[in-house]
Amino acid sequence: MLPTLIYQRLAGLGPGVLSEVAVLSMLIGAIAVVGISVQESMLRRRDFRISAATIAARPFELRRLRLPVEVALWTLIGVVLVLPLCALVLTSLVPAVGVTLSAATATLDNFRFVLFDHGAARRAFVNSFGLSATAAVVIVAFAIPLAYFLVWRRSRMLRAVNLVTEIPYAVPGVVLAIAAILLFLKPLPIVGVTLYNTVWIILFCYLARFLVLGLRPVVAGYHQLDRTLEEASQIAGARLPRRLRTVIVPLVAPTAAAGALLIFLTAFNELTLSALLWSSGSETLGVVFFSFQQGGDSTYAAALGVLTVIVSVALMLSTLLAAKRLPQGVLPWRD
Amino acid sequence: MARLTIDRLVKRYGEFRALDDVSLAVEDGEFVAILGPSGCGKTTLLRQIAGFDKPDAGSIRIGDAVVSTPAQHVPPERRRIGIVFQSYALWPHMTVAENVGYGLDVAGVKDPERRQRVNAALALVELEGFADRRPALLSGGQRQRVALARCLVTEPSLVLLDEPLANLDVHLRAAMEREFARFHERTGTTMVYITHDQAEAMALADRIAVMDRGRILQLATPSVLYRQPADDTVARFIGEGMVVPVAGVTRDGDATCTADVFGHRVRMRCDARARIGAEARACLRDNALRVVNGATPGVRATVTGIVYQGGRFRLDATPERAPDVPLHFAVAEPCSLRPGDSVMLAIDDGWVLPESGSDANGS
Repeated sequence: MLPTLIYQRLAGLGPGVLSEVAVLSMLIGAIAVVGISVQESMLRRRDFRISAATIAARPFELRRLRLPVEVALWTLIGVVLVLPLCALVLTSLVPAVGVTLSAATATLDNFRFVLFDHGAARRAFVNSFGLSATAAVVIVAFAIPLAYFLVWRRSRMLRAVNLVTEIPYAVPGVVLAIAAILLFLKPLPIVGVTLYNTVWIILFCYLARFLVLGLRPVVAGYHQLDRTLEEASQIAGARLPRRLRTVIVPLVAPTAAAGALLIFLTAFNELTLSALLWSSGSETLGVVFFSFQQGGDSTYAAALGVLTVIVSVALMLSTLLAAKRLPQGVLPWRD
Repeated sequence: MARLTIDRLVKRYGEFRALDDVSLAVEDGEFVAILGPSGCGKTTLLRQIAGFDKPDAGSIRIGDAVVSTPAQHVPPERRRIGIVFQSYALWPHMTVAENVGYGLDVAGVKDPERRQRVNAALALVELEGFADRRPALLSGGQRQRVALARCLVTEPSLVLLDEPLANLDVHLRAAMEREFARFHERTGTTMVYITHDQAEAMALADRIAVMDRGRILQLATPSVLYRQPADDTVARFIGEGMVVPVAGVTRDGDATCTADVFGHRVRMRCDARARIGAEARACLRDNALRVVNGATPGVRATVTGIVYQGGRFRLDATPERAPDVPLHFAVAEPCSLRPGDSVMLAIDDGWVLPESGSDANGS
C-alpha cells in the first residue's frame, strides 16, 4: 500500500527522502480529492433532510428466519469483537507470551509496569488524554459556528471549505504528518518558535485530521433543526452571537457532544499521525503500544491495550450516566 | 403601533415572480388578513415584511422608517416586530417563562420588571400556572398561546401571524380565533395575518387582501369581498362564488342594473364607477338561487349531484342552456330531488363583475 511504502521509506532512510515521499503523498492526496468530489456531486443531487415527524419504528418481522439471523449476527459480533478482546485480556495477564494462563501464572505485573514503572507509557496516557480532549473541545467549538454558515448560508466559497475539511481525514495519516513536518520544520515566522519535535505539531495534526469528524455530526444537527427557531430569536431582537449562544448551541449540543466523543475516542488510540511526529516526551499511546509490540513486549502492549479499552468504555458509560441528569431529548441515543 | 406601507414590491426567483408589484397599506392598529391558496406568495410577502429576504424592487415602510428597498435593508432583529410562526417555534430547551422572557432579556429588561411583564403576558393568555413547564409538555393550543405571549411581551409595533391555526384541531381553532380577536382589541397592535382559510380571515380581519400568483387581487372588508368581488378569481375563491356569463346589461340606477342570465332577466348590483359593457360576467352566491315551481320564470337546470350537509342539501346543477357552467345551491331538508331531475331556479341577486378587474386578471 502507498502509505506503508511512504512510512518504510521515511523510517529506513530518514528525512533525506522527504521530497520523494512528498510526491507519493501528493499522489494519494489527489486520489482522495477525486473520491470526495464524486461523493459531493452525488449528494448534491438530492436533499436527504427528514421532513416528516418521526413516528414509532415498526419492527420488520423476520418470522422463521429470525433464529438463523440472530445466530449469524451474534457469531459475527463474537468473532470481530469478543475474541480479539479476550486475546488482549488473557495476554495482559501472563508474565510472558507462550506461558499458559492459570491461577498460578496470572499476574498484574504488566499493568503495574505500564502504569507506574515505564515513564514513556505514563507520559503517553497523559499526552494522549490531553491531546484528544483538547482536539475534541477546540474542534467542536469551531465546528458549531462553521456549520451554521455551511448549512444556512450556502455559498460557493463555503462549499469549497466543506470539501477542503474532508481532505485531511481522507488522506492517510502519514501523508498529513509529512505535510505538517514540511510546514513546521522551520521556525514559525515572526514569533520564531519551532513546533517540530513538540507535542503541538501533533495537536495541529489532530485538529486538521479530525475536524471533519466533529463537523459532520454538527452539520447533521443543523439539518434537523427547524430554522424558524433561529428566526424567532432573530425577531426577538437577538444578533448572531447571542442567537448562537442562547438558541443554536443548546440545540445542536447533543450532536456536537456526539462528535466530540467520536473525536476523542479516535484520537486517543491514533497511531498513523504520531508515528512520524512523536518525540521524546511527546509520546502518544499508539506510539508506545507500537514500540512495545515491535520490541517483543506483547504482554505490556496487551496491558496497555486493555487500559485504553477500559478508558474508552468508561467514557461512553459515563455519558449514559450523565444522561439521566440531562433534560429529556438532549442525548440522541436516549429519549 | 405603526402603519405598514408596502409599495410596488417585486421578488423574483429566477424567472418566477413570487411577488409581482405588490402594494398594501395597513393602517395603524388595523387587523389585515392576507388570504390566498398555497403558493400564492403570501409567505414570501411575510418574509419580506419580517426582513428575512430582500426585495428586487419596491419598498416596505414600518411607521415612518423605510426598512426594505433593494439598496437598503434593516435586518429582522432591528425591525421591532413580532411573529407568531406556524410551527410555533418555541425553544424546546427553555421553560415557558424563559421563552416568553427572551425578548426582554435581549432588550436588557431586568427583574423585577422582566418578571412582572412575563407574568402579565402569561396572564393575558391564561397560562399563569405553566411558567416553569417545557413547551414539549404543552398541548397545541397552549403552545400557540405561549408563542402569542412571547410575541407580545416586547410590545412590538407590528405583529405578523403566519397561518397560526393551521396546525390546530378544528375545535381549538374557534377558541384561538376568539383569543386573537380579544388580543387585537386589547392591545390595539397592527396585525398582519397570513392564512389560506377564508373563514378565519373573515372572522378576524378588518380588511382582507386576496392574493394569487404573487399579486394582490383585492383589498377590502370581508363584506365587500363577498358581495362585490373585484374579479373572477376573487369571486370563485371567496365563498365559492359562481361566475356566469350575462348579456344585455343595462344600468337602471347608480349601482344597479338588469341583465340576462341564461335567458332569464335578473336584477343585479354593479359598481357605480366601473365601466360595464353589455356583455359581462356576474358572480352569484348559492343563497341567491332558489328552487321555484316550473310555472315561475327562471333558469331551467339539471341536477348533477346531491350532498347532505346536516339539515340541508347542497345541490350541484347545470343550466340547460349552458351545460358547461356549474351552479350550486342549498335546499332545506326534506328534499325529494335526485340527480338527473330538472328544476326551475329563480335568481334573486348577483354582482356584475367590473370589466377592468377581469381584464387585469387576464382570465
